[in-house]
Amino acid sequence: MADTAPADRRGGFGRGRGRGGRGRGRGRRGDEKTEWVPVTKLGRLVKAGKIKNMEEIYTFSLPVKEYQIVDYFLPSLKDEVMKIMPVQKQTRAGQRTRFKAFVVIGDSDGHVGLGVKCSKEVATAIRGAIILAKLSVIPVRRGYWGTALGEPHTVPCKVTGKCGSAMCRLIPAPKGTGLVAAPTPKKVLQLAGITDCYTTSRGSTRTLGNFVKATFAAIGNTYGFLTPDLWSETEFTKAPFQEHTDFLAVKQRK
Amino acid sequence: MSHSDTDSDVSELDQRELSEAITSDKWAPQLGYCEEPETPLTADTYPSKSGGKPAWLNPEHILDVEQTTCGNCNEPMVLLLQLYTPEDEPAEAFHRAVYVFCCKNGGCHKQDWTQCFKVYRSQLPRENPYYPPPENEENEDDDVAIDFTPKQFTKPKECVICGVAGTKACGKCQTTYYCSRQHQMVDWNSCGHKLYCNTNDPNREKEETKLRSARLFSEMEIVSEPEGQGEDGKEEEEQKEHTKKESGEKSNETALALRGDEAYENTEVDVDQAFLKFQLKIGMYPDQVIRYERVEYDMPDREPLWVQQGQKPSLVPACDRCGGPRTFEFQILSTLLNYLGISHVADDSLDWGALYVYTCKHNCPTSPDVFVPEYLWKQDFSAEGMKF
Repeated sequence: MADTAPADRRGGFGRGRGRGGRGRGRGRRGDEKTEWVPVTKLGRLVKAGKIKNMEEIYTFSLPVKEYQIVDYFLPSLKDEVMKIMPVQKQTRAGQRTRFKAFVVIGDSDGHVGLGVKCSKEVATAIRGAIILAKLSVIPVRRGYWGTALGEPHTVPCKVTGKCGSAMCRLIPAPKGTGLVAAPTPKKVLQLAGITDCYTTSRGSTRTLGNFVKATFAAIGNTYGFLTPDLWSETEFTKAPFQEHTDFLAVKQRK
Repeated sequence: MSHSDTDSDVSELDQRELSEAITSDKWAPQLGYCEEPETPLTADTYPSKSGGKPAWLNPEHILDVEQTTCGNCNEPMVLLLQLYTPEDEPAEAFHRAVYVFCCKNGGCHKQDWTQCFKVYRSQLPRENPYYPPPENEENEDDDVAIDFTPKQFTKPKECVICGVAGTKACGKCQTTYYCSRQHQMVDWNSCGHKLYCNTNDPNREKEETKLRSARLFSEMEIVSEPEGQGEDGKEEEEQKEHTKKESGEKSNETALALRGDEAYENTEVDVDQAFLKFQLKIGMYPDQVIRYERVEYDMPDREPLWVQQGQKPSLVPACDRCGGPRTFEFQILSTLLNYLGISHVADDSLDWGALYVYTCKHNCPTSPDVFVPEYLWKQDFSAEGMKF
């Protein structure tokens, strides 16, 4: 009985031979192939259009587990493979080489993400890294160097990020300066949508993985910095689906 | 290095390798998909369906409302799904159905979900008083008239809302049956019985059916297909073309030497590994709703496809009839929630990661009862996103 290949089982649950429900119709799925079926609740809300933009997700720090959510809100994300690095592990039978892909993704208008993935094949690593990068997209706060004229173009204040020994510091720059940075952070800042910036770095910046993560951390700190214009009290609103209903309060009485 | 070269590392899992692994897996699970019913899903078609009212396998003995009441809010539960899962052995399980009931009130699940699900198994032998034995294909030329007369019995009244035993009747017309006071109130107030009771309005049946079925989950048929048979998996090949132009520098660098603290790091970002593996596995067939694992006899007990590392059942209780072990039979994925016709906006809307159903391994006989309770475990998704 165990040697019946799966191809023989045509439909129906259970182990009864030749009985059980309908098999799935074939050849009708041409248009459904690329449709996303959400798995998480946030995914369902996004697909139903109940969430208007990524900023709502950021405000309430909702964990994003499906990369299709990010695709839905930010369809114009561009990815950039920073480096493919072979890493090795010693095994009994010699060395096992895998490839580590660093991918930075961004829409050049306030969102960046960084993904790192290790895999036996380059293409797999890149694909996986793109997905991880999408899941890690964070908002970038931009500000002005001087007069608040036109669109924000630089970081709002001096921010720094550190990873390993690599440290990256971003300093506001006047309009028209461009990105004064090494090629690595320059790429990240471009994808973030920062047009002008001075940078300073320290430590072993040759370790590209750490350097990119340091820049990413610095960019992430832009929204973590309390500036005077944020001093006013925040009006807390209820999250899309995190609000507690009265049901639970009532139940306690029982 | 003391570790052997493991290829089961999650970071290794690749769509292509995965699809190869699936087609060569002779115990690949049967996947269930929700589709619009083609024919009415009545009991004699032995349906597998989600939502709607239960189609009772045993038409003479049906569940009582006491067996389908939520332990938290004491409201009657509704049918989440039923699967028709016939077996070849033992003989009593020739016809077999598993019913899963669920409390519609999401708040109950937040409080104590163990009270909000009930699973029942019901089975009939091949020779039973209700359905003629199915014809054997080999004996078609025998031309023997099937000498079968179904048993005559009074069909038990069903609640017009939820389909379990309707022991109470409407006080006014005495012709509409309910399982409980709650459903009687619901029918009176929200389903129009107040207007239509004792009337002969031509629209009555249509309106009432529409309003009553809105109290349940949307009815869909569950069709099945073994994993690895569909065409969706081939879609992943197109991904390769996209990444071909993206694969920047090749690995011709001589810098095979590891640099500093980057040695031996795999995935740098801390993401729920079990969830990534789960996503990868269902990514091949994203609209699946059921994963049915009991596909052959004499197969080893398989682990379900977990959705997170934690929140696993610590001890699955043994069958209370025969004392034998309960093993994993099938799991219900969260994708089913897309097909139930419920709103997802509220905080307390129904939600789960996956529901795992464990049933008696040996399908012990159910007599003298008709329904045997089985065990269900729920896993939520972990509340972790990406950590840096």
